[in-house]
Amino acid sequence: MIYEGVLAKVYLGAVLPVLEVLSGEDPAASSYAGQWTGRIRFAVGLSGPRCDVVFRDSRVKVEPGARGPSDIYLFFPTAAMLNALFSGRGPGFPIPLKGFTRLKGLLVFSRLAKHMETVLNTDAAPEKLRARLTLDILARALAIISRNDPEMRLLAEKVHGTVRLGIKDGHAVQVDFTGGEPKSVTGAGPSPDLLLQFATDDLFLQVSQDKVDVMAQACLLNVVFQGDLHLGQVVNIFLDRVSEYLPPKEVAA
Amino acid sequence: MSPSFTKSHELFARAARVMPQGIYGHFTPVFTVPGSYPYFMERARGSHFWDVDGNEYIDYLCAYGPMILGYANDKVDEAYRRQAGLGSCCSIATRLSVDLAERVTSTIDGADWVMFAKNGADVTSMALMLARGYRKRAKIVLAEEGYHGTQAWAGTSTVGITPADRADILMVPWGDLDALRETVAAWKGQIAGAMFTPYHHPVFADQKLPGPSFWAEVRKLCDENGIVLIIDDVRAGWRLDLKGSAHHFGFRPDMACYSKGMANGYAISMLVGAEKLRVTASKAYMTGSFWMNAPEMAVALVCLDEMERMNVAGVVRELGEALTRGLRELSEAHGLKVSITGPAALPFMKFANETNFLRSQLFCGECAGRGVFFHPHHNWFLSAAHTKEDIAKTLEAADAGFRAVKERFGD
Repeated sequence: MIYEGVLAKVYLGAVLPVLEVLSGEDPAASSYAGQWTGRIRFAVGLSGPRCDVVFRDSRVKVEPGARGPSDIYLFFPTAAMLNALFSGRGPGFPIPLKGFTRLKGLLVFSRLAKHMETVLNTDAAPEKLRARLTLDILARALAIISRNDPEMRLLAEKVHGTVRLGIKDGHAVQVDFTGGEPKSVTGAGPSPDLLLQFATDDLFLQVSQDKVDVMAQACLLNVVFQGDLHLGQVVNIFLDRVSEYLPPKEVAA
Repeated sequence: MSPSFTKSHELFARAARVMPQGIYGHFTPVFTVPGSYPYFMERARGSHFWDVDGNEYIDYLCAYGPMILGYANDKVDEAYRRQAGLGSCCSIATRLSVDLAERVTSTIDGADWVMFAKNGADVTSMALMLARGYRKRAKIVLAEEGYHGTQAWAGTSTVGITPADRADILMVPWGDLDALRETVAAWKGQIAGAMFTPYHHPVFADQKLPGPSFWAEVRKLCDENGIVLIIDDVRAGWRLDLKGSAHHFGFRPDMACYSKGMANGYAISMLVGAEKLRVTASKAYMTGSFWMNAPEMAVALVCLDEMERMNVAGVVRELGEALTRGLRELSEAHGLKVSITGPAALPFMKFANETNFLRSQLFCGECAGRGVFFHPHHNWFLSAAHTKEDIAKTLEAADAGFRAVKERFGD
């Protein structure tokens, strides 16, 4: 079962933040970002999740919480409406409380979001960048889902320790399950309790799309699976849950 | 010099193309240390096996328990060959089923009847059905982290399991009498059975032995509430007491499940029960194509005789005590803290100052490189084929393993 409120938090807290790296690393994304300067606020309900997407100097910054004035204020009465917009499942038109006339900002965001989707789901972008963005989304989504999804929260309260997911000689992320409030960190943090390391970006991307047998790959020594394997079994359940919330998309390159 | 696993890895590459995970279930090499352990065995004899690359190991996993007299035991294998020559899977039952049933009911404490099957999971499932059928109730109490097979109700797998599969399962921590009492009170009149292992042998954690009055209290609670008490003795059975682990701990369950060591590696399991459940068992339709296979029954008869003749429970306890004593002394000499838990015949060692098993994985990997097959996360098994010489060689390897841990981690 997918909880719409949790999915909205995943979109705002895990998916949108990769625009920061994308606009910094990908020339096309940077070019889109450079076409407008301003702040777009996403808000779900009166007390739901919210964040600001800030366009400045051809870069994007995503600020959680949303404070101060914004140029465009997109208000989604329900989480389902925001999710419909991000998943492409429906129109998901928000109520523009502010900035209805600043259409250019919305247009630029829309182009950038579409580009992000293409980068994440096709071979159009370099594997290294795709792997990095996917790892970032995965770690943040894993932490958000295990904090907020009721069934996953129960499970998260029973595990302790830090898991590192990464590419050999490449990008890594960590999720800390200590204290029942899982937190994600981009980059390799302190020594993890569980290491899940993939030999190549390509292998990680295939695993993230459920295209390869990760257990077999571990035995072929293409995946290092070391440390607290009990935590690993639980993380595996969380990762399956992430792919229920964020199923791979079929996107034309 | 580290052993070579070239052939293991070549074989695995073929395996991964035609079988999910290549090697699946508890045999997956992922749970040992890929790169430090072999994947495929070539042959085995006594307490040793040889992998496909020719590396030799003293085996403390004993095929996860079944190997209790030793691999390729002549008496056992001869019994199998002899009966196989007379027929194995037949259209009707054989005399051996009667012989074995009589032998079992005269050996296992509290066994008034017996039903044979193939795997532990067959008989743990049968036990739940019979408890429910007998009490006309739905709920079953199990222990958290307990293992009873991979059936949907057992909660081991997450793939394809729905909440309905486990809707009538109630979980309590093993050994927690208060939690059990609370659960029984909360579901008064609805609990058909409670199934536990005779002592707690989880993976990834210390084992727990029952306190002096634990089983007496559980027995009393079950009797007062009409709950069928079932013991899953699949893993520990025969290594603590020929009459069953419940006898070892001084209580009598209503049903008990056995397999693993029952036929020294040949596939057979059994559910034994008390008289009061006989009629219910007689009404249940439970069967399998191979459940009446004669050769495994012939083997079980020989195996029981051998276990009695050799006092296997006593032998494996003494060997286990020598092993665990040596490991404690070595770890102390290296300034390392280990916890060794469970019965001596089925010990489990982990490093006391870690929960992530990194030290255990290094230690076990080092031992594997020196020809000693320990598991870093699962309890170990002694067999009657292990020798004092095996223990001495094992402790030499363990000394090197502890040294490696000390060098890498410092404590």
